[in-house]
Amino acid sequence: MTQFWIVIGLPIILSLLVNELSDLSPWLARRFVARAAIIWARDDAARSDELRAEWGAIIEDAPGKITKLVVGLRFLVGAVARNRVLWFTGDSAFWTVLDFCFWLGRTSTNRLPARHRVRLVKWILWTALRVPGHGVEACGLLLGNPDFDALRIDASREKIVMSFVPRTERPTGQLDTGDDHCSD
Amino acid sequence: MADEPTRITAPFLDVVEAFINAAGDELHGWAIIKASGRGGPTVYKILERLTEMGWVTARWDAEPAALNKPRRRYYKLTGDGARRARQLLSERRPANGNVVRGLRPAFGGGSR
Repeated sequence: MTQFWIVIGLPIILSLLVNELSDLSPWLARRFVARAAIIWARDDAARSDELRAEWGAIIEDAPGKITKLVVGLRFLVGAVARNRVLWFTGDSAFWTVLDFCFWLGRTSTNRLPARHRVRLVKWILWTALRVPGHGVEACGLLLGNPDFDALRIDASREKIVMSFVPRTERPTGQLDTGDDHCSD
Repeated sequence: MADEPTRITAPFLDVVEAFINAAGDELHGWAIIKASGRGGPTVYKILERLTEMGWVTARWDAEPAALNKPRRRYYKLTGDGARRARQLLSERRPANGNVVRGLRPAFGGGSR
């Protein structure tokens, strides 16, 4: 009976799901660009309306349902990356994705112990410093991060030495300032 | 009077090149994205810069392409912007200079 479901039932369910998702994609893409327009324009409601209309037309022009979804998603990621990290003005797709991941990591891991957040940021920095021409900006990503009281960094192409001082709130309201050090 | 770009990146040149290839035709958003080969947010950041610099003007389509569809917004190089864009491309991408002038866009442009 189990084999029956795997061989017959699963493909049917999957194909129905894929079909449903592809029908849903244009609608989802329009939702993405509407949200992206709000984030992009921030407090400027008139500009936001303009962008929503304009990007809505782009979604209509994009061929294929999945393409529409991808285009809409890219606008959303781009808008988030643009305004969550205000100093970021680059045009690189790498940085758009990295900023989004960084923002996601910061907002979704608030309940994680500080040492895990430190590890996540270290991993991002470690990766970023390996992309030619972006090392300095990678350091900038971490500055102003509320998860850390201080960040000491000595980075070059050959060697990276980082000292993080994580912010962990204690019941007394004092901060844990234990150093977490790694070298590469 | 058009301003000079403060940062000239590869995506910036791609978008400028898309306009030059359009040979004076207007381009809508999707046409620019396709012609430049860059993502939507990247293109729009550059379009905002080009508009602020006075290289590009924009206008809304008078009527939507189809009923209940959103209207497109068309972009076009200004006279001064076109001159500076050609100059910039000839400096930064000299190998493409002759090809650029000979190409026409495969899709997109409205005409006025």
